[in-house]
Amino acid sequence: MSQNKRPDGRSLNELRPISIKLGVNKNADGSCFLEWGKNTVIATVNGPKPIFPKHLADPTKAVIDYKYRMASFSVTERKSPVPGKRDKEISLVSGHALEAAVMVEQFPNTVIDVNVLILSADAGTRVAALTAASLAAADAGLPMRGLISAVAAGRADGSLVLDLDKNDEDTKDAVDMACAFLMPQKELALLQMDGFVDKKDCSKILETALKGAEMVYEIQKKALIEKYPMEGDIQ
Amino acid sequence: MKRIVTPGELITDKKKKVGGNIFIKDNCIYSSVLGILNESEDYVSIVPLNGPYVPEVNDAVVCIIKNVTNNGYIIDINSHSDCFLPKSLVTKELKIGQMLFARVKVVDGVDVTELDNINILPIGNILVVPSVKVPRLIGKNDSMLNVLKKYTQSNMLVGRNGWVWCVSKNFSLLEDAINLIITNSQKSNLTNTIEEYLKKNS
Repeated sequence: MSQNKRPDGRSLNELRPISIKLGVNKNADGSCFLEWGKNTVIATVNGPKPIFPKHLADPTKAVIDYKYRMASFSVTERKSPVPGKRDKEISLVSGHALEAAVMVEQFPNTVIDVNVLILSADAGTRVAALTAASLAAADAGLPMRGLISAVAAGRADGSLVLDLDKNDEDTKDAVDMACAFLMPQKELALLQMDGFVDKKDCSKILETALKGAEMVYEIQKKALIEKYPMEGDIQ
Repeated sequence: MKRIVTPGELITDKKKKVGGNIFIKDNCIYSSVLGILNESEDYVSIVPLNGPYVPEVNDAVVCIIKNVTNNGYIIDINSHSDCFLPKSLVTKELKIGQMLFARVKVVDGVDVTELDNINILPIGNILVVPSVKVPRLIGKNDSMLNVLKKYTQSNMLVGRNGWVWCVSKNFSLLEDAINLIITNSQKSNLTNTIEEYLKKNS
C-alpha cells in the first residue's frame, strides 16, 4: 500500500460508493436495497404484529426479530444456506443495536420482523446490513430516536483506514472494528473487533469510525428525503 | 415552506406546544418519524409519511371477522392485535370473512378491547392504504372523497385503520386514483390534480 492510496484507488479515509433505494418490496411495510462497494444487501421490516409463541412476548416492549442471512451465491465458494454460528451471532448483536434506535416501548407484546439478506459479500456486510435495516425501519414509519449508521474502521498494512474491503482485511496486521452509532446523538450501539490493537490505536480507530458514520448518516438522510419529492407532476 | 424531516432530527430548541410524532430530550424537540414538519410560532407536530395503525377511541374502522368462538368473534382491525366481539352485541349470526363498520369504544394501552355501533357491510371490495394517509384520502370537508365517488360512480366507506370498503362501476380507475393519492400524498393541491386525472380517464 502506498502512503495515501489503497489498492482500489481510495484514500485512507474514504468510503466505498454507497447507493440506496427505498420501498423496493411491496409486500413489506418498509424495505431498503443498498449497494456498498461490492456488497449488495436487501432489508425488509414487517410489523409490529402479534408474537407467536406467546411466551416470547415482552409486556414492556416489542421484540425485534433480526435475521441476518447470506445467500448461498453471495460468496465465491458456495455457502451453505443453513444459518451457522456466525449468522446467529450477528443477528443477535445487530438486533440489540437496532433496539437502541427503534422506540420498542410503544408496542408492548408484539414483534417487529427484520429480515436482511446479503446478495453479494465483500467485507463489512454486518455494517451494511445494519445500515440498510435502520433505513427500512424508518421507511416502515416506526417511531425512532435516530438512525443507525454503521461503518467499519481498522488497520491495514500499518496505517489506520476507514471502511475495510477484502484486500484490507487480508493483510497481515489487519484490525477490523465494526462500529454502529445512533445518529445524530453519536451514541455507540455496536462494537465488534477482529485482530490485536493497543489502547492508543483503539481510540484513534473509534474516532475514524465516527467520522465515517457521519458520512454514512448524511447519505441515509438524503436517500430518505429523496423518496418523497415535494414538487413535480403526479406519477 | 414544508419540509421533510428524518427520525432523530433536531427541530427546535425553543419551548413550544407539541403534537404527535415528537420526542423531547434535554429541552430540545426532535422528530421521531420520517414525515412532513408542521411548525408555527408556538406549535410543532409531524405528519408521518408511513406507519402502523395505532387505534384510538372513537375511530371508525372497517374490520373483518377472522374467527368464530363459542361466545364471540375474533376481529381483524389491521392493528397489531386482534379484537374480541361478544355475541351479545350483535343480533345476527356472523360468518368468517364478513366485513363490519364499527367504532372503537375502549382502548387499553395499545389494544382495542371493545367495539360499538356495529354495522354489517354488504359484499364489496377492500382496498388497503397506509392508515397515516387516510386524512389525505378524505380531504378537507370530504372534498377528495366526493371527487372519487363522482367520477368513478362508486360507494365508499373509509376506515381510520386504512381499509377502504368500496363498490364501484369503474373499479380499476378508482384503484389507480387511490394509488396516485398514496404515492403523491406529500404534494400540495392534490384534489385538483386528481380531479383532472379522473376527468381525462373516465
